Amino acid sequence: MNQKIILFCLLIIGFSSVAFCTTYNEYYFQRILPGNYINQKVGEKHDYITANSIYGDTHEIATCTGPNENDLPDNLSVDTYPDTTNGPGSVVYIRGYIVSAPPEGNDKIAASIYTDRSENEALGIQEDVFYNTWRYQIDDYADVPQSTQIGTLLVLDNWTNDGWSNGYLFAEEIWYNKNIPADIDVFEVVTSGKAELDPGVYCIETEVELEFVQTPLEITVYEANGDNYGTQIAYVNIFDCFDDNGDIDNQRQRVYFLQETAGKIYIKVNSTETAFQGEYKIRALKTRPVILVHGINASPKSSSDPATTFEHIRDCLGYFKEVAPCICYDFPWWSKDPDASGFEKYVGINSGVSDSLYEFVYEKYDLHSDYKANIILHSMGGFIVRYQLDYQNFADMINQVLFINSPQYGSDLANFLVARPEAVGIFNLSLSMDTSEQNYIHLSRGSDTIWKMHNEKDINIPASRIAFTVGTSRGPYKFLEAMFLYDYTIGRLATLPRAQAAMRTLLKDRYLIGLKRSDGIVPVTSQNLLNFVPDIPKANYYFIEKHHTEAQKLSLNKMNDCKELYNLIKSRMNAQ
Amino acid sequence: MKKKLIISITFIIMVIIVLLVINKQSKQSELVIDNILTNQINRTEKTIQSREHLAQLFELKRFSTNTSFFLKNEFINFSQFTNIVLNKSDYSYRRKQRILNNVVPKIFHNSNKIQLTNLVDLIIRGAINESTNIHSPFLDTLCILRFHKLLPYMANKILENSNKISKIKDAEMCMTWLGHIQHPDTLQTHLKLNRLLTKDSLLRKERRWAMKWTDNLPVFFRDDCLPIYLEITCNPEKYNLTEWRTAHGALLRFTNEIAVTEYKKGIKNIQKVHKNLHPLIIRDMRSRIKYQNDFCTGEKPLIKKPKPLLDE
Repeated sequence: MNQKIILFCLLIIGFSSVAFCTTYNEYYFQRILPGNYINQKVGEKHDYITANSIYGDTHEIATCTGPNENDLPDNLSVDTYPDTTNGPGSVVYIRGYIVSAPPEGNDKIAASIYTDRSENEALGIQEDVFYNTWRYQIDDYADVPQSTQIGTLLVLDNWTNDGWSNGYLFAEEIWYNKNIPADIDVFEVVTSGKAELDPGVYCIETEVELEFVQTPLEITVYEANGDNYGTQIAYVNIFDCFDDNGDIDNQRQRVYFLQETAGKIYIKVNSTETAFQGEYKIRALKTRPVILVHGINASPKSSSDPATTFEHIRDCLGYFKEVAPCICYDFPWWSKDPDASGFEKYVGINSGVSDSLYEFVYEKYDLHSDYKANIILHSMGGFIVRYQLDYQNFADMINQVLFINSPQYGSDLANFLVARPEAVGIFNLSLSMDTSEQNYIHLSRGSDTIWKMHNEKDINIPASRIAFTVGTSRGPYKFLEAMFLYDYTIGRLATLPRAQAAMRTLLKDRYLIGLKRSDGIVPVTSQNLLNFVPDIPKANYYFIEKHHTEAQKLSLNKMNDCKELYNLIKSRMNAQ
Repeated sequence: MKKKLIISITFIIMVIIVLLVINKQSKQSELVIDNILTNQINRTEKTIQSREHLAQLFELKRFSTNTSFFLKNEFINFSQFTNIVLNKSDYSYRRKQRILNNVVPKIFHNSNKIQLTNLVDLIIRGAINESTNIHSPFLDTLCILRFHKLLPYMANKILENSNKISKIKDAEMCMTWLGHIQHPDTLQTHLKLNRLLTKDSLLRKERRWAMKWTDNLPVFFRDDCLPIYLEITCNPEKYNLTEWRTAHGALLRFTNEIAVTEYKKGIKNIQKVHKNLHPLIIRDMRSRIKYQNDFCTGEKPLIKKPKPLLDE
């Protein structure tokens, strides 16, 4: 019986020792493989390899080597952070990073980390470790701002195709499979010649290498809180840039942020969950304010009005990859504001008239840290801008002005409606119904306003900074015809013969003969700015085959239809 | 005989009816104001304010016979001033700093307070001197300081300088300042100035670099301004056409029943007083009714109500 008990005990001891040996081997192997990452939290060491220590001291781990002799030891360094208090089984963090630029001819530096406890141990793990570690561990930038290894981005004043900094993210599929966070780079954005970032509005732009990275980067902008991340002020995790055809570009991302007071800004870049490792380019740029000034009876009418008559210009222009970074602001004015005496209400002498274009532009100019604004205007918006440009201090804030189908000599349609107000009743022209009579008078050919624009109001910017479009080829009365048929179809005009008779009356009107060559509303001659600024370069104007009400619309869905306008805007936005 | 009697009786009855109708119409304008008060009197505290302001309006005639405005000796503190600047939320940090660095030292010079007359003088001088610069901290200060107790100082300055070529810019700056002080008192001051400024005043003439003084009233969207607009709308014969038109137009921005009905009635009333009014203007006034409808139904958002002035 006793023998049986002894044998049983021996068996248990044997099994347990075998089990212990097995565990030991596995344990030994596991400590080398990357695993057990600590949670990804801001300010923590989350990007290091952790390994379970056998001995619990610094000697077992680690040194660093590369495939070429030239790579080491000058270019690479390894940090180990052992937790010695717990002895065997405790956690050790390993992190390798590039100390200096790689030797010429080596684009990428490969390196391996292994233990120096003994050659055998190192050799025993080499194959696995070499492959897994170097690609994940060697990092050129830090994952937390406290490190001295963070990159620096100098803000570029002017937009060109250069000025990129390079980055590399060491994320790979295996990390995703293991549910391990990917690599993170941190950059500090500074104004050139200074230790911090000046106030202003900035754009962070990235471009990924299509070969490697198939998903967008996560770019987060933080205010600095000492040496740590402070408040998050901007974030993007999608490809949000458009190419010239209005399609999403699978390489570019832009994120805009406002820096209100001078201070430190950190940019955190990491790959999204499913990303592969790869190179990317990054740069920081100053952002130009673009002021959109709409025409009569258009939107936005007030600052709370979300509508825009410029369609996708307002929201998308800053995201065209070939267009310099910009933010568009739609100037709210209402041609039929009950308390307005026409457009002149929106013309200010200086800052102080709160509704004026001057105050609006100044606000944006100030916000963008004295970066000159571009103006894109349509139709009667040209009147407000022309009146404002008479003031030198307003013109000093402006870089470029683009007039889209703006009636510089008035419109015959306005004369028609002023002279024959009953036409509104007869034809139910919904456009004219919506227009205040004061603005009709301003818009009429031969009005005092037109006279003042030509006699008194100077354009205080050089001709090379002015561009314009002329809408053509829409026939003399296309618009009126359409309105008119619409009235007939919805039953406002009872019979077709009556409609035709009304049309014939309309066509005989002498005023409307003035619209024979026009964009449907404004005659071609009135849109042509060469008549009074003859020095405008030829590249700065186009004749576009668009109707007046459609000419200012940049539609991503119909980019082919508005390519001419887009090209003109692009060339003007990128001009300094 | 009987026929003649019947005819004469019916004639007398018709005459009585006609007289009654005419009498009713003549009382209409008085009824309007009564309606305003009776409809609103028991609803909110605002109505009490309206009533007070209506009472003030009736004193307008007596008030406007004076040729100058009553000025008090009042002061503004350094800390009060800097707090106002720092609390201006829609100005950027840089804009506020520009005011604190450039304007404050020039105004206070190491003292703790400044008299309001001096303050108005200094700010207007500063604003005129910087009119060619892009950054204009003095003008920004002018927009920030929204005290209705400043009104008499500005009005006085406008009156004093309206005919002097060398000082006309001072008057122009005060005009700008006036537009920022959204208060019923501003409307009264404006009405008074309309009468006090002579027709050949320099300020009324068109100048290239500045706005001219027009009789157009400023349009404010405060509830306590409504009675003033209503008073003008209901009495077109007492006010000139430009005053009447802006007051009438201002009613569109109020959505209560009185404003809606009085706007419509106003179109009829004005045609009785100004018989040669251009049909385009009448059509325009009619077409604007639909905007008021949009505001009432909520289809179009109303402009945000302005914040109260700093000394209210």
